[in-house]
Amino acid sequence: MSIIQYKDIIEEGDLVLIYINRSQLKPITIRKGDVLNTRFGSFPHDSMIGLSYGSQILTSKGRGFVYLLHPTPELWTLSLPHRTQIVYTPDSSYILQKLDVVAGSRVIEAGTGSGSFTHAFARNIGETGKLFTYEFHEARYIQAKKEFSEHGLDKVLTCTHRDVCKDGFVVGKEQINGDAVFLDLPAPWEAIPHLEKVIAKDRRVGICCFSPCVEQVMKTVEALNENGWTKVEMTEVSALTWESRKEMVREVGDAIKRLKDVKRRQREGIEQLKKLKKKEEEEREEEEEEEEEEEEEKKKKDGEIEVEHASKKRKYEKQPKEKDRDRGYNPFGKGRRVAEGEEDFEWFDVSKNEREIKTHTSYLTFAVFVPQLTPRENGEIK
Amino acid sequence: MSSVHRQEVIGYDDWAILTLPSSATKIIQMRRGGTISLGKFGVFKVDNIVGYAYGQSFEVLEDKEVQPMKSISYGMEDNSESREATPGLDFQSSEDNRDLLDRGSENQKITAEEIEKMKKEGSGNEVANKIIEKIIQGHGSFDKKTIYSQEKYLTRKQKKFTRRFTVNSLTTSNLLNHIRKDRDPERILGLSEETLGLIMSHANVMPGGNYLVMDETGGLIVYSMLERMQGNGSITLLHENDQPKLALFRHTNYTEEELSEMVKPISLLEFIDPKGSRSSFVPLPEEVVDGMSEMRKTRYLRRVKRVRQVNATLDMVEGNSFDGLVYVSTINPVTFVPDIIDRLKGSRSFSIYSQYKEVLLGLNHILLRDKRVLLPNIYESRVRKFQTIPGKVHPLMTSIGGGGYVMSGIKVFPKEGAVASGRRSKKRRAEEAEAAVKLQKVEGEEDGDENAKPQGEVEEDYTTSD
Ligand SMILES: C[S@@+](CC[C@H](N)C(=O)[O-])C[C@H]1O[C@@H](n2cnc3c(N)ncnc32)[C@H](O)[C@@H]1O
Repeated sequence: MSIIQYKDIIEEGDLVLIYINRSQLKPITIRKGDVLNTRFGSFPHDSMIGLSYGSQILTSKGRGFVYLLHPTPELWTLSLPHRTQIVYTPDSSYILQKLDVVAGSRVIEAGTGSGSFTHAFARNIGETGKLFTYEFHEARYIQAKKEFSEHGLDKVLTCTHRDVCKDGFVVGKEQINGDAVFLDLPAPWEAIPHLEKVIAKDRRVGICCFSPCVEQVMKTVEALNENGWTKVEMTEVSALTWESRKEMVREVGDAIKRLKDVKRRQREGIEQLKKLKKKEEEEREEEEEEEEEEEEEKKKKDGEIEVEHASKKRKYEKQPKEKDRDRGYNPFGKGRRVAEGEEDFEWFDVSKNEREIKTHTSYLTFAVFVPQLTPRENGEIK
Repeated sequence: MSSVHRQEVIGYDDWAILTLPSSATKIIQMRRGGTISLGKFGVFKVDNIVGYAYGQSFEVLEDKEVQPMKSISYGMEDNSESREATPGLDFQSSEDNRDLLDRGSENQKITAEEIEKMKKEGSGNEVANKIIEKIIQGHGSFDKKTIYSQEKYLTRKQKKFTRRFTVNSLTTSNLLNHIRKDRDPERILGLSEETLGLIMSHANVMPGGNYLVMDETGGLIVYSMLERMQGNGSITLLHENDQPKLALFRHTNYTEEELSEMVKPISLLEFIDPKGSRSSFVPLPEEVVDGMSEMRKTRYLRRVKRVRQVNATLDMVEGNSFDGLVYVSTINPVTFVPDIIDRLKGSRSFSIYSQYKEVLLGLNHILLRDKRVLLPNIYESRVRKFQTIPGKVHPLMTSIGGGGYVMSGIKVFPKEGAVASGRRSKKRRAEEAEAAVKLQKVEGEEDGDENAKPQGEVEEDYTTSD
């Protein structure tokens, strides 16, 4: 299979991303006889073969389930084994857009790192394009190359073990003719002078250098200017994910009305309330005694967890249902569990960021190289 | 392939985008033998720019001639090439600006009329240099400025008067930025370049895919997808009129035929009722067709082709066989997207765009409870540009606001009965769905413990205050 070509049915040897939950995506390769073990149960690979991508499967006991997803570059970015810092979708999607990376593009990328961006490049260029990616760290290179093969990317990319700052980008006899360049390494200014030999000479070439520090950017800008790149532009992407929430519409009139009601009830029912409290207390004592007895009994039979569970259950059953308790005028559902969006109340549709947000990834330094063609000789177009 | 459009070298009849030093842009077509007027920036002959690579910059000379330039700002911006390239400018500067009077234009002895007069003295860029020189000489306290502010002043004047331009190819990004900056951003529903990138990546748009598309930007979304696919794959374009509105394509390099090869239009009505929309057309026997006059035959064959196309598109719909959805429309997605989901293949992604987050929030609430959808997320992306003058690096002071939001998700096939253990009430399920919002859809565990409290619920204990 190939990560950059959709297929419908899962077969042996395919890569499947197991969606366990929102923060847990696990890549597996389907092998007859293998079993996937998760916290939620076991799933034999055999049971996945022949299913559609996107299917949900249950454990034999039906207690747990997972989804079988088709890998995409974006999902791979979320599930890949990190060996380095990686480029995430907000940056990669903008860079792809801005560098016009489309079917047929020829892309130069260094360093390969964990191969996160490599997948997105490969998806965009497809089989008519070509990607040249370089990594000087041997173990990372070997691992990346292996993954690319498993993901069916061999047709679209060449992965080379190379220090591009020292030895440049030329590979064998192949004409690279790159029209888009992405440099995500600590010293892009050392790689930039080597690009001349491998970029296309008959069309505009775009470059993006990805560096976290301003000092790096300044050295990069200088190198770009010195090596004939123009239209230098530095940008930064800030990205947010929004969660949709609902906030109860609480009006001050209702709050005042409720206060009045509380006051009235206080006046009328202080005595009654006292009685009630006393009764509750008695009940609780009774219940605790009962529980102790029960606990003793149970401990003999089961594990402690079971016992705890049972006692909790009991306690819950004995308590009067929150909803049934009379709270008088209660416009906001105070004292009871109100689910966000519950029909009995009015709600605002609101949104919220994640608890921790990424405020900086890297600066993006773009530039273009426009070959100075000479289409005219003696005033005539060649 | 016919709908492959990668413009490399400036050619006759191409549509392209011109950029001026002020960064204003203009869409042009390169007619053989034609001239292109840049208003007060001069005129040039198309023949003079054909054959250069796209991205090439030129300076306007006298007699509609041009001089290729390495870049539009060559010799202008202090962070690119050397300042010496601006001829005839030699001036004193100050350590700081303590002696500078804050009087703005009063410092300037040259009047606007004089500048206008000078502009007419020639049609080439020579004039621009003369004007700038005059303006500096006429500036009463130019020498009281620091070198930095002198350069800033100079760059500003150069951007205003220099008669140069760059010829850029009509990429989606260039087209988008042209509309957003120099036309009406509302025409493309406020969409920014970075948000377009997000839409495309999250919908996994790639060559060979078959996508379902709603496009209310006059065709920018379709244009972008065609650019990415380069003739490989298909776009089924939903529309709410007699035919899709693709006004932007009038000024692009696509022909009608190329478009119809890749883009299959289908109305909302046909989409909602594919069975009822099938044509009852029965082809005529071959002998009858053979006996037709040429004109009738052509008309007949065209009709057959159209019917076949419509039916093929309806087949795609009925077969639930789309590889993705890109939804850029002001039709409230809440009222439509849930109906589209079934039409996607398993594990395919979608991107829904809106200029307003609020519109997507409503949809997000719904899709969080929809078992056919995983990871319904709302994304926002904003790009900030920086000035990169050494020692003076900072973000630009202003930029265009807005840019829109994207909600993406993945279509899956929930298993019947996988969630409900039967005992649960509808209410309870709704509560769980709400809890899932906060638990961020931590799934996989269904232990049926009725006491397990969904996290994050609104629970306050006010018993003491009663
Ligand atoms: C931050 S990582 C790249 C991450 C990658 N863009 C991704 O999305 O997964 C940088 C990589 O560049 C490699 N590198 C650094 N200098 C290099 C050089 N001169 N030649 C080749 N690779 C280099 C490092 O080993 C590292 O793996």
